[in-house]
Amino acid sequence: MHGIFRFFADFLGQGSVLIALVVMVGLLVQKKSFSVTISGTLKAFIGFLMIAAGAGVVSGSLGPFGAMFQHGFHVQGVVPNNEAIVALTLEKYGAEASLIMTFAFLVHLLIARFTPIKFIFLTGHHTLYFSVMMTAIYAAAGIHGVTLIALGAVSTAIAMSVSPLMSFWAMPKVTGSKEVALGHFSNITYCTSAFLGKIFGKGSRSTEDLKLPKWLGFMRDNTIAIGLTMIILYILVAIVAGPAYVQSQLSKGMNFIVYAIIEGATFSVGVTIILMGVRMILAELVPAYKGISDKIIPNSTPALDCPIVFPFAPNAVIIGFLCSFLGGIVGLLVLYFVHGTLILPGVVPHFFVGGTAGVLGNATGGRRGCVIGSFVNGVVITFLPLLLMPLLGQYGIANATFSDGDFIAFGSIYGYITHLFV
Amino acid sequence: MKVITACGSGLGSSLMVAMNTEKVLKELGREEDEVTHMDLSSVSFSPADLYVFGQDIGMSTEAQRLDQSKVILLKNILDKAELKSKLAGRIEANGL
Repeated sequence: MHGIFRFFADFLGQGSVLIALVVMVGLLVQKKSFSVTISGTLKAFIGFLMIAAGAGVVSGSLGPFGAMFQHGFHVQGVVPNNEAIVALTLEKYGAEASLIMTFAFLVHLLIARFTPIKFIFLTGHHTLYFSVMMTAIYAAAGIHGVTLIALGAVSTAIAMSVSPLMSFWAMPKVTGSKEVALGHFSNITYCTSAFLGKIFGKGSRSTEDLKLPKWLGFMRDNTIAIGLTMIILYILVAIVAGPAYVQSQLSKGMNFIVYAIIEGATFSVGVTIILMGVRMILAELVPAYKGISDKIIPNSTPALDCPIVFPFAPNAVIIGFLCSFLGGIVGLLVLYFVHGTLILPGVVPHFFVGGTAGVLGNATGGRRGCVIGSFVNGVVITFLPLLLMPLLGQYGIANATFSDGDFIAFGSIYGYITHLFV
Repeated sequence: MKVITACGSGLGSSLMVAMNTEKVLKELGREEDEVTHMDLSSVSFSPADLYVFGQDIGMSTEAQRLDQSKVILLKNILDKAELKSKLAGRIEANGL
Protein backbone atom coordinates (compact mmCIF):
# COMPACT_ATOMS: atom_id res chain seq x y z
CA MET A 1 0.00 0.00 0.00
CA HIS A 2 2.67 2.39 1.02
CA GLY A 3 4.44 1.91 -2.31
CA ILE A 4 1.29 2.77 -4.26
CA PHE A 5 0.62 5.83 -2.14
CA ARG A 6 4.19 6.96 -2.64
CA PHE A 7 3.80 6.49 -6.41
CA PHE A 8 0.74 8.73 -6.57
CA ALA A 9 2.18 11.34 -4.24
CA ASP A 10 5.35 11.58 -6.34
CA PHE A 11 3.43 11.39 -9.63
CA LEU A 12 0.99 14.19 -8.78
CA GLY A 13 3.73 16.28 -7.20
CA GLN A 14 5.27 16.73 -10.62
CA GLY A 15 4.42 20.01 -12.39
CA SER A 16 4.70 18.20 -15.72
CA VAL A 17 2.06 15.64 -14.71
CA LEU A 18 -0.30 18.27 -13.33
CA ILE A 19 -0.14 20.42 -16.44
CA ALA A 20 -0.70 17.34 -18.63
CA LEU A 21 -3.78 16.43 -16.57
CA VAL A 22 -5.18 19.97 -16.93
CA VAL A 23 -4.71 19.82 -20.70
CA MET A 24 -6.26 16.35 -20.81
CA VAL A 25 -9.37 17.51 -18.94
CA GLY A 26 -9.62 20.50 -21.31
CA LEU A 27 -9.48 18.22 -24.34
CA LEU A 28 -11.99 15.74 -22.88
CA VAL A 29 -14.43 18.55 -22.08
CA GLN A 30 -14.21 19.69 -25.70
CA LYS A 31 -14.91 16.08 -26.79
CA LYS A 32 -11.79 15.95 -28.95
CA SER A 33 -10.89 12.67 -30.65
CA PHE A 34 -8.83 10.02 -28.86
CA SER A 35 -5.69 10.70 -30.90
CA VAL A 36 -5.89 14.48 -30.37
CA THR A 37 -6.41 13.98 -26.62
CA ILE A 38 -3.45 11.64 -26.26
CA SER A 39 -1.09 13.76 -28.36
CA GLY A 40 -2.13 17.03 -26.69
CA THR A 41 -1.69 15.56 -23.21
CA LEU A 42 1.73 14.12 -24.02
CA LYS A 43 2.82 17.36 -25.69
CA ALA A 44 2.05 19.32 -22.53
CA PHE A 45 3.93 16.73 -20.43
CA ILE A 46 6.99 16.74 -22.67
CA GLY A 47 6.83 20.51 -23.15
CA PHE A 48 7.03 21.05 -19.41
CA LEU A 49 10.11 18.83 -19.15
CA MET A 50 11.58 20.68 -22.12
CA ILE A 51 11.39 23.92 -20.11
CA ALA A 52 13.47 22.26 -17.39
CA ALA A 53 15.97 21.08 -20.00
CA GLY A 54 16.23 24.62 -21.37
CA ALA A 55 16.69 25.94 -17.84
CA GLY A 56 19.74 23.73 -17.48
CA VAL A 57 21.25 25.13 -20.66
CA VAL A 58 20.45 28.73 -19.70
CA SER A 59 21.88 28.45 -16.20
CA GLY A 60 24.96 26.68 -17.54
CA SER A 61 25.60 29.72 -19.70
CA LEU A 62 24.53 32.37 -17.15
CA GLY A 63 26.82 31.01 -14.43
CA PRO A 64 30.10 31.90 -16.18
CA PHE A 65 28.55 35.18 -17.36
CA GLY A 66 27.79 36.16 -13.76
CA ALA A 67 31.31 35.14 -12.66
CA MET A 68 33.02 37.15 -15.43
CA PHE A 69 30.79 40.14 -14.74
CA GLN A 70 31.51 40.08 -11.01
CA HIS A 71 35.24 39.74 -11.63
CA GLY A 72 35.33 42.51 -14.25
CA PHE A 73 32.94 45.11 -12.83
CA HIS A 74 32.78 44.16 -9.11
CA VAL A 75 28.98 44.34 -9.19
CA GLN A 76 26.22 41.94 -10.19
CA GLY A 77 25.11 41.99 -13.83
CA VAL A 78 21.55 40.88 -14.53
CA VAL A 79 19.97 39.86 -17.84
CA PRO A 80 16.24 40.65 -18.01
CA ASN A 81 14.81 37.59 -19.76
CA ASN A 82 11.45 36.13 -18.73
CA GLU A 83 12.14 32.68 -20.12
CA ALA A 84 15.43 32.30 -18.24
CA ILE A 85 14.13 33.35 -14.82
CA VAL A 86 10.86 31.42 -15.25
CA ALA A 87 12.60 28.20 -16.26
CA LEU A 88 15.03 28.43 -13.32
CA THR A 89 12.16 28.95 -10.85
CA LEU A 90 9.91 26.32 -12.43
CA GLU A 91 12.46 23.59 -11.70
CA LYS A 92 11.76 23.96 -7.99
CA TYR A 93 8.12 25.08 -7.89
CA GLY A 94 6.64 23.34 -10.94
CA ALA A 95 3.69 21.69 -9.19
CA GLU A 96 2.61 24.81 -7.29
CA ALA A 97 2.97 27.04 -10.37
CA SER A 98 0.91 24.65 -12.53
CA LEU A 99 -1.93 24.68 -10.01
CA ILE A 100 -1.73 28.45 -9.57
CA MET A 101 -1.99 28.96 -13.34
CA THR A 102 -4.98 26.63 -13.63
CA PHE A 103 -6.90 28.27 -10.80
CA ALA A 104 -5.89 31.74 -12.00
CA PHE A 105 -7.59 30.99 -15.34
CA LEU A 106 -10.76 30.04 -13.45
CA VAL A 107 -10.76 33.02 -11.06
CA HIS A 108 -10.10 35.33 -14.02
CA LEU A 109 -13.19 33.93 -15.76
CA LEU A 110 -15.23 34.62 -12.61
CA ILE A 111 -13.98 38.23 -12.54
CA ALA A 112 -14.99 38.68 -16.19
CA ARG A 113 -18.35 37.03 -15.58
CA PHE A 114 -19.38 38.92 -12.46
CA THR A 115 -17.59 42.30 -12.51
CA PRO A 116 -17.57 45.16 -15.05
CA ILE A 117 -13.97 44.28 -16.05
CA LYS A 118 -14.73 42.03 -19.01
CA PHE A 119 -11.25 41.27 -20.35
CA ILE A 120 -10.25 37.71 -21.17
CA PHE A 121 -6.47 37.53 -20.91
CA LEU A 122 -5.42 35.11 -23.65
CA THR A 123 -1.63 35.48 -23.56
CA GLY A 124 -0.96 32.08 -22.05
CA HIS A 125 2.80 32.36 -21.67
CA HIS A 126 2.49 35.55 -19.65
CA THR A 127 -0.09 33.88 -17.39
CA LEU A 128 2.33 31.00 -16.89
CA TYR A 129 5.26 33.35 -16.19
CA PHE A 130 3.17 35.41 -13.77
CA SER A 131 2.06 32.28 -11.89
CA VAL A 132 5.67 31.18 -11.60
CA MET A 133 6.69 34.61 -10.30
CA MET A 134 3.92 34.65 -7.69
CA THR A 135 4.98 31.16 -6.56
CA ALA A 136 8.55 32.36 -6.06
CA ILE A 137 7.52 35.58 -4.27
CA TYR A 138 5.08 33.90 -1.87
CA ALA A 139 7.37 30.92 -1.26
CA ALA A 140 10.24 33.30 -0.46
CA ALA A 141 7.93 35.00 2.07
CA GLY A 142 7.38 31.62 3.77
CA ILE A 143 3.87 30.84 2.47
CA HIS A 144 3.22 27.22 1.49
CA GLY A 145 0.58 24.66 0.53
CA VAL A 146 -3.05 25.55 -0.10
CA THR A 147 -2.59 29.16 1.05
CA LEU A 148 0.21 29.62 -1.48
CA ILE A 149 -1.92 28.27 -4.31
CA ALA A 150 -5.04 30.26 -3.36
CA LEU A 151 -3.15 33.53 -2.89
CA GLY A 152 -1.10 32.96 -6.03
CA ALA A 153 -4.16 32.20 -8.17
CA VAL A 154 -6.14 35.22 -6.96
CA SER A 155 -3.12 37.56 -7.35
CA THR A 156 -2.50 36.31 -10.88
CA ALA A 157 -6.17 36.52 -11.86
CA ILE A 158 -6.45 40.12 -10.61
CA ALA A 159 -3.37 41.10 -12.63
CA MET A 160 -4.86 39.43 -15.73
CA SER A 161 -7.99 41.60 -15.37
CA VAL A 162 -6.45 44.90 -14.28
CA SER A 163 -3.42 45.01 -16.57
CA PRO A 164 -5.33 45.32 -19.89
CA LEU A 165 -7.47 48.07 -18.36
CA MET A 166 -4.45 50.36 -18.02
CA SER A 167 -3.85 50.79 -21.76
CA PHE A 168 -7.39 50.14 -23.01
CA TRP A 169 -8.30 53.84 -23.23
CA ALA A 170 -5.62 54.32 -25.90
CA MET A 171 -6.47 51.25 -28.00
CA PRO A 172 -9.15 52.88 -30.21
CA LYS A 173 -6.47 55.33 -31.38
CA VAL A 174 -4.34 52.35 -32.47
CA THR A 175 -6.80 49.82 -33.89
CA GLY A 176 -9.81 52.07 -34.57
CA SER A 177 -12.10 50.01 -32.33
CA LYS A 178 -12.69 48.83 -28.77
CA GLU A 179 -12.80 45.20 -29.79
CA VAL A 180 -9.39 44.21 -28.53
CA ALA A 181 -7.22 44.96 -25.48
CA LEU A 182 -3.55 44.39 -24.82
CA GLY A 183 -3.02 41.24 -22.77
CA HIS A 184 0.68 41.69 -22.16
CA PHE A 185 2.25 42.27 -18.77
CA SER A 186 3.86 45.54 -19.84
CA ASN A 187 0.71 47.63 -19.78
CA ILE A 188 2.12 49.98 -17.15
CA THR A 189 4.73 51.31 -19.58
CA TYR A 190 2.33 51.16 -22.56
CA CYS A 191 -0.07 53.35 -20.59
CA THR A 192 2.78 55.70 -19.64
CA SER A 193 3.87 55.98 -23.28
CA ALA A 194 0.35 56.72 -24.50
CA PHE A 195 -0.06 59.29 -21.73
CA LEU A 196 3.24 61.02 -22.57
CA GLY A 197 2.24 61.07 -26.24
CA LYS A 198 -0.99 62.79 -25.31
CA ILE A 199 0.85 65.47 -23.31
CA PHE A 200 3.90 66.14 -25.51
CA GLY A 201 2.76 65.07 -28.97
CA LYS A 202 0.41 67.88 -30.01
CA GLY A 203 0.67 68.46 -33.77
CA SER A 204 3.39 65.86 -34.34
CA ARG A 205 2.97 63.84 -37.56
CA SER A 206 2.63 60.04 -37.61
CA THR A 207 5.71 57.80 -37.83
CA GLU A 208 4.03 55.93 -40.67
CA ASP A 209 4.80 58.74 -43.16
CA LEU A 210 8.50 57.93 -42.80
CA LYS A 211 10.59 55.55 -44.94
CA LEU A 212 12.75 53.25 -42.78
CA PRO A 213 15.57 50.86 -43.76
CA LYS A 214 14.53 47.22 -44.17
CA TRP A 215 17.69 45.56 -42.88
CA LEU A 216 16.35 45.73 -39.31
CA GLY A 217 13.95 42.96 -40.37
CA PHE A 218 16.18 40.21 -38.99
CA MET A 219 15.54 41.52 -35.46
CA ARG A 220 12.03 40.06 -35.66
CA ASP A 221 13.54 36.63 -35.14
CA ASN A 222 13.96 35.89 -31.42
CA THR A 223 16.67 33.24 -31.71
CA ILE A 224 18.80 35.52 -33.85
CA ALA A 225 18.15 38.67 -31.80
CA ILE A 226 18.96 36.96 -28.49
CA GLY A 227 21.98 35.15 -29.94
CA LEU A 228 23.44 38.32 -31.40
CA THR A 229 23.02 40.46 -28.27
CA MET A 230 24.23 37.80 -25.89
CA ILE A 231 27.34 37.12 -28.00
CA ILE A 232 28.15 40.85 -27.97
CA LEU A 233 27.49 41.12 -24.21
CA TYR A 234 29.57 38.01 -23.41
CA ILE A 235 32.50 39.27 -25.51
CA LEU A 236 32.43 42.70 -23.80
CA VAL A 237 32.28 41.12 -20.35
CA ALA A 238 35.01 38.58 -21.19
CA ILE A 239 37.30 41.42 -22.33
CA VAL A 240 36.74 43.37 -19.10
CA ALA A 241 37.24 40.24 -16.97
CA GLY A 242 40.46 39.59 -18.89
CA PRO A 243 41.91 36.50 -20.61
CA ALA A 244 43.91 35.42 -17.57
CA TYR A 245 40.82 35.04 -15.38
CA VAL A 246 38.55 33.53 -18.05
CA GLN A 247 41.05 31.00 -19.35
CA SER A 248 42.25 29.84 -15.92
CA GLN A 249 38.90 29.77 -14.08
CA LEU A 250 36.17 29.13 -16.64
CA SER A 251 37.10 28.06 -20.14
CA LYS A 252 39.63 25.35 -19.27
CA GLY A 253 42.22 27.06 -21.41
CA MET A 254 40.03 27.84 -24.44
CA ASN A 255 40.62 31.30 -25.92
CA PHE A 256 38.45 33.75 -23.95
CA ILE A 257 36.80 35.34 -26.99
CA VAL A 258 35.89 31.98 -28.54
CA TYR A 259 34.54 30.92 -25.14
CA ALA A 260 32.43 34.09 -24.90
CA ILE A 261 30.98 33.55 -28.39
CA ILE A 262 30.04 29.93 -27.65
CA GLU A 263 28.51 30.71 -24.25
CA GLY A 264 26.56 33.71 -25.63
CA ALA A 265 25.08 31.59 -28.41
CA THR A 266 24.36 28.80 -25.90
CA PHE A 267 22.15 31.19 -23.92
CA SER A 268 20.02 31.62 -27.04
CA VAL A 269 19.88 27.83 -27.42
CA GLY A 270 18.45 27.54 -23.91
CA VAL A 271 15.81 30.21 -24.50
CA THR A 272 14.78 28.57 -27.78
CA ILE A 273 14.31 25.21 -26.03
CA ILE A 274 12.26 26.88 -23.28
CA LEU A 275 10.06 28.67 -25.83
CA MET A 276 9.47 25.40 -27.66
CA GLY A 277 8.36 23.79 -24.39
CA VAL A 278 6.06 26.70 -23.53
CA ARG A 279 4.55 26.51 -27.03
CA MET A 280 3.82 22.77 -26.61
CA ILE A 281 2.02 23.39 -23.31
CA LEU A 282 -0.06 26.29 -24.58
CA ALA A 283 -0.99 25.01 -28.05
CA GLU A 284 -3.92 23.05 -26.60
CA LEU A 285 -4.56 25.04 -23.44
CA VAL A 286 -5.25 28.47 -24.95
CA PRO A 287 -7.78 27.37 -27.61
CA ALA A 288 -9.66 25.35 -24.95
CA TYR A 289 -9.69 28.35 -22.64
CA LYS A 290 -10.90 30.66 -25.38
CA GLY A 291 -13.65 28.19 -26.27
CA ILE A 292 -14.90 28.15 -22.68
CA SER A 293 -14.79 31.93 -22.26
CA ASP A 294 -16.57 32.53 -25.60
CA LYS A 295 -19.35 30.28 -24.40
CA ILE A 296 -19.93 31.57 -20.87
CA ILE A 297 -18.93 35.24 -21.26
CA PRO A 298 -20.10 36.26 -24.73
CA ASN A 299 -19.71 40.02 -24.15
CA SER A 300 -16.04 39.83 -23.13
CA THR A 301 -13.09 41.65 -24.73
CA PRO A 302 -10.10 39.51 -25.66
CA ALA A 303 -6.76 40.80 -24.32
CA LEU A 304 -4.01 39.64 -26.67
CA ASP A 305 -0.23 39.54 -27.00
CA CYS A 306 1.50 42.80 -27.95
CA PRO A 307 2.41 42.08 -31.61
CA ILE A 308 -1.30 42.45 -32.47
CA VAL A 309 -0.69 46.23 -32.64
CA PHE A 310 2.48 45.97 -34.79
CA PRO A 311 0.77 45.77 -38.22
CA PHE A 312 -1.05 49.04 -37.47
CA ALA A 313 2.21 51.03 -37.26
CA PRO A 314 5.32 49.05 -38.33
CA ASN A 315 7.55 52.17 -38.38
CA ALA A 316 6.60 53.06 -34.81
CA VAL A 317 7.73 49.56 -33.78
CA ILE A 318 11.23 50.11 -35.17
CA ILE A 319 11.55 53.66 -33.80
CA GLY A 320 10.11 52.52 -30.46
CA PHE A 321 12.64 49.69 -30.27
CA LEU A 322 15.61 51.97 -30.99
CA CYS A 323 14.49 54.69 -28.53
CA SER A 324 13.68 52.13 -25.83
CA PHE A 325 17.08 50.48 -26.26
CA LEU A 326 18.72 53.90 -25.98
CA GLY A 327 16.74 54.44 -22.77
CA GLY A 328 18.05 51.09 -21.53
CA ILE A 329 21.65 52.14 -22.19
CA VAL A 330 21.15 55.51 -20.46
CA GLY A 331 19.61 53.65 -17.49
CA LEU A 332 22.55 51.24 -17.44
CA LEU A 333 25.06 54.13 -17.34
CA VAL A 334 23.18 55.73 -14.44
CA LEU A 335 23.24 52.41 -12.54
CA TYR A 336 26.96 52.10 -13.26
CA PHE A 337 27.74 55.53 -11.82
CA VAL A 338 25.72 54.95 -8.66
CA HIS A 339 27.36 51.50 -8.30
CA GLY A 340 24.04 49.65 -8.35
CA THR A 341 23.31 46.17 -9.68
CA LEU A 342 23.57 46.50 -13.46
CA ILE A 343 20.42 45.64 -15.44
CA LEU A 344 21.64 44.95 -18.98
CA PRO A 345 19.54 45.97 -21.98
CA GLY A 346 17.99 42.92 -23.65
CA VAL A 347 17.07 43.23 -27.30
CA VAL A 348 13.94 41.10 -27.03
CA PRO A 349 12.20 43.09 -24.27
CA HIS A 350 13.20 46.37 -25.87
CA PHE A 351 11.93 45.18 -29.24
CA PHE A 352 8.54 43.87 -28.13
CA VAL A 353 7.84 46.19 -25.21
CA GLY A 354 9.62 49.22 -26.66
CA GLY A 355 8.01 48.61 -30.03
CA THR A 356 4.53 48.44 -28.51
CA ALA A 357 5.19 51.53 -26.38
CA GLY A 358 6.22 53.23 -29.65
CA VAL A 359 2.97 52.24 -31.36
CA LEU A 360 0.88 53.61 -28.49
CA GLY A 361 2.96 56.79 -28.20
CA ASN A 362 2.58 57.35 -31.93
CA ALA A 363 -1.17 56.77 -31.74
CA THR A 364 -1.65 59.51 -29.14
CA GLY A 365 1.23 61.84 -30.01
CA GLY A 366 2.78 61.12 -33.41
CA ARG A 367 6.56 60.96 -33.85
CA ARG A 368 7.27 62.97 -30.72
CA GLY A 369 4.97 60.75 -28.66
CA CYS A 370 6.59 57.63 -30.08
CA VAL A 371 10.13 58.79 -29.29
CA ILE A 372 9.43 60.15 -25.79
CA GLY A 373 7.11 57.29 -24.79
CA SER A 374 9.41 54.48 -25.85
CA PHE A 375 12.54 56.16 -24.44
CA VAL A 376 10.86 56.49 -21.04
CA ASN A 377 9.74 52.86 -21.38
CA GLY A 378 13.38 51.83 -21.85
CA VAL A 379 14.54 53.75 -18.76
CA VAL A 380 11.68 52.43 -16.62
CA ILE A 381 12.18 48.74 -17.51
CA THR A 382 15.86 49.15 -16.63
CA PHE A 383 15.25 50.49 -13.11
CA LEU A 384 12.09 48.54 -12.18
CA PRO A 385 13.72 45.07 -11.85
CA LEU A 386 15.73 46.36 -8.88
CA LEU A 387 12.48 46.60 -6.90
CA LEU A 388 11.57 42.99 -7.52
CA MET A 389 14.90 41.23 -7.05
CA PRO A 390 14.92 41.24 -3.22
CA LEU A 391 11.46 39.63 -3.25
CA LEU A 392 12.43 36.64 -5.37
CA GLY A 393 14.53 35.04 -2.63
CA GLN A 394 17.39 32.94 -3.99
CA TYR A 395 16.19 33.64 -7.56
CA GLY A 396 16.81 37.34 -7.07
CA ILE A 397 20.53 36.61 -7.36
CA ALA A 398 20.27 34.28 -10.35
CA ASN A 399 21.72 36.79 -12.88
CA ALA A 400 18.35 36.84 -14.65
CA THR A 401 15.11 38.68 -13.92
CA PHE A 402 11.70 39.52 -15.38
CA SER A 403 11.80 42.01 -18.21
CA ASP A 404 8.27 43.45 -18.33
CA GLY A 405 6.89 46.28 -16.21
CA ASP A 406 3.69 44.66 -14.97
CA PHE A 407 5.44 41.58 -13.63
CA ILE A 408 7.59 43.87 -11.56
CA ALA A 409 4.91 46.40 -10.60
CA PHE A 410 2.29 43.82 -9.57
CA GLY A 411 4.92 41.46 -8.17
CA SER A 412 6.42 44.21 -6.01
CA ILE A 413 3.04 45.40 -4.73
CA TYR A 414 1.98 41.85 -3.82
CA GLY A 415 5.41 41.05 -2.39
CA TYR A 416 5.82 44.13 -0.21
CA ILE A 417 2.24 43.86 1.10
CA THR A 418 2.91 40.23 2.02
CA HIS A 419 6.02 41.22 3.92
CA LEU A 420 3.89 43.57 6.05
CA PHE A 421 1.94 40.56 7.33
CA VAL A 422 4.36 37.63 7.29
CA MET B 1 -2.93 21.57 -47.49
CA LYS B 2 -0.61 22.76 -44.74
CA VAL B 3 -0.71 26.33 -43.39
CA ILE B 4 1.94 27.87 -41.13
CA THR B 5 1.46 31.03 -39.04
CA ALA B 6 4.41 32.63 -37.28
CA CYS B 7 5.47 35.51 -35.04
CA GLY B 8 8.68 36.52 -33.27
CA SER B 9 8.43 34.13 -30.35
CA GLY B 10 5.81 31.77 -31.77
CA LEU B 11 3.69 31.97 -28.63
CA GLY B 12 0.97 34.62 -28.70
CA SER B 13 -0.12 36.28 -31.91
CA SER B 14 0.80 33.34 -34.17
CA LEU B 15 -1.44 31.11 -32.04
CA MET B 16 -4.31 33.61 -32.39
CA VAL B 17 -3.88 33.72 -36.17
CA ALA B 18 -3.68 29.91 -36.25
CA MET B 19 -6.96 29.63 -34.33
CA ASN B 20 -8.64 32.09 -36.70
CA THR B 21 -7.21 30.30 -39.72
CA GLU B 22 -8.62 26.97 -38.52
CA LYS B 23 -12.02 28.57 -38.04
CA VAL B 24 -12.00 30.24 -41.46
CA LEU B 25 -10.85 27.07 -43.23
CA LYS B 26 -13.72 25.22 -41.58
CA GLU B 27 -16.12 27.86 -42.90
CA LEU B 28 -14.63 27.30 -46.35
CA GLY B 29 -15.38 23.60 -45.97
CA ARG B 30 -11.73 22.59 -45.63
CA GLU B 31 -11.66 20.70 -42.33
CA GLU B 32 -8.81 18.42 -43.36
CA ASP B 33 -6.29 21.24 -43.67
CA GLU B 34 -3.49 21.37 -41.12
CA VAL B 35 -2.61 24.64 -39.34
CA THR B 36 0.57 25.02 -37.25
CA HIS B 37 2.04 28.03 -35.47
CA MET B 38 5.73 28.56 -34.80
CA ASP B 39 8.51 31.08 -34.25
CA LEU B 40 9.98 32.92 -37.19
CA SER B 41 13.32 31.04 -37.00
CA SER B 42 11.62 27.73 -37.72
CA VAL B 43 9.78 28.96 -40.82
CA SER B 44 12.77 28.63 -43.17
CA PHE B 45 13.02 24.86 -42.63
CA SER B 46 9.29 24.15 -42.33
CA PRO B 47 7.71 23.52 -45.72
CA ALA B 48 4.05 24.49 -46.15
CA ASP B 49 1.53 25.37 -48.84
CA LEU B 50 0.67 28.76 -47.37
CA TYR B 51 2.21 31.06 -44.77
CA VAL B 52 0.10 33.65 -42.92
CA PHE B 53 1.82 36.60 -41.19
CA GLY B 54 0.98 40.08 -39.97
CA GLN B 55 2.21 42.63 -42.50
CA ASP B 56 4.91 43.82 -40.08
CA ILE B 57 6.42 40.29 -40.19
CA GLY B 58 6.39 40.51 -43.99
CA MET B 59 9.50 42.71 -43.92
CA SER B 60 11.48 40.24 -41.81
CA THR B 61 14.42 38.43 -43.38
CA GLU B 62 12.84 34.99 -42.91
CA ALA B 63 9.56 35.99 -44.57
CA GLN B 64 11.38 37.69 -47.46
CA ARG B 65 13.16 34.43 -48.32
CA LEU B 66 9.93 32.50 -48.87
CA ASP B 67 8.20 31.98 -52.20
CA GLN B 68 6.01 35.10 -52.10
CA SER B 69 3.14 33.41 -53.94
CA LYS B 70 2.70 31.32 -50.78
CA VAL B 71 2.77 34.25 -48.37
CA ILE B 72 -0.38 35.98 -47.09
CA LEU B 73 0.13 39.25 -45.19
CA LEU B 74 -2.60 40.58 -42.92
CA LYS B 75 -3.17 44.27 -42.29
CA ASN B 76 -5.22 43.51 -39.19
CA ILE B 77 -4.28 40.11 -37.82
CA LEU B 78 -7.57 39.78 -35.94
CA ASP B 79 -9.85 40.57 -38.88
CA LYS B 80 -11.43 37.27 -39.92
CA ALA B 81 -13.08 38.81 -43.00
CA GLU B 82 -9.70 39.94 -44.34
CA LEU B 83 -8.20 36.53 -43.55
CA LYS B 84 -11.08 34.71 -45.25
CA SER B 85 -10.97 36.68 -48.50
CA LYS B 86 -7.17 36.46 -48.73
CA LEU B 87 -7.09 32.74 -47.91
CA ALA B 88 -9.88 31.91 -50.37
CA GLY B 89 -8.22 34.00 -53.09
CA ARG B 90 -4.83 32.37 -52.61
CA ILE B 91 -6.24 28.83 -52.41
CA GLU B 92 -7.92 29.40 -55.76
CA ALA B 93 -4.93 31.13 -57.39
CA ASN B 94 -2.50 28.41 -56.28
CA GLY B 95 -4.94 25.59 -57.04
CA LEU B 96 -4.71 24.11 -53.52
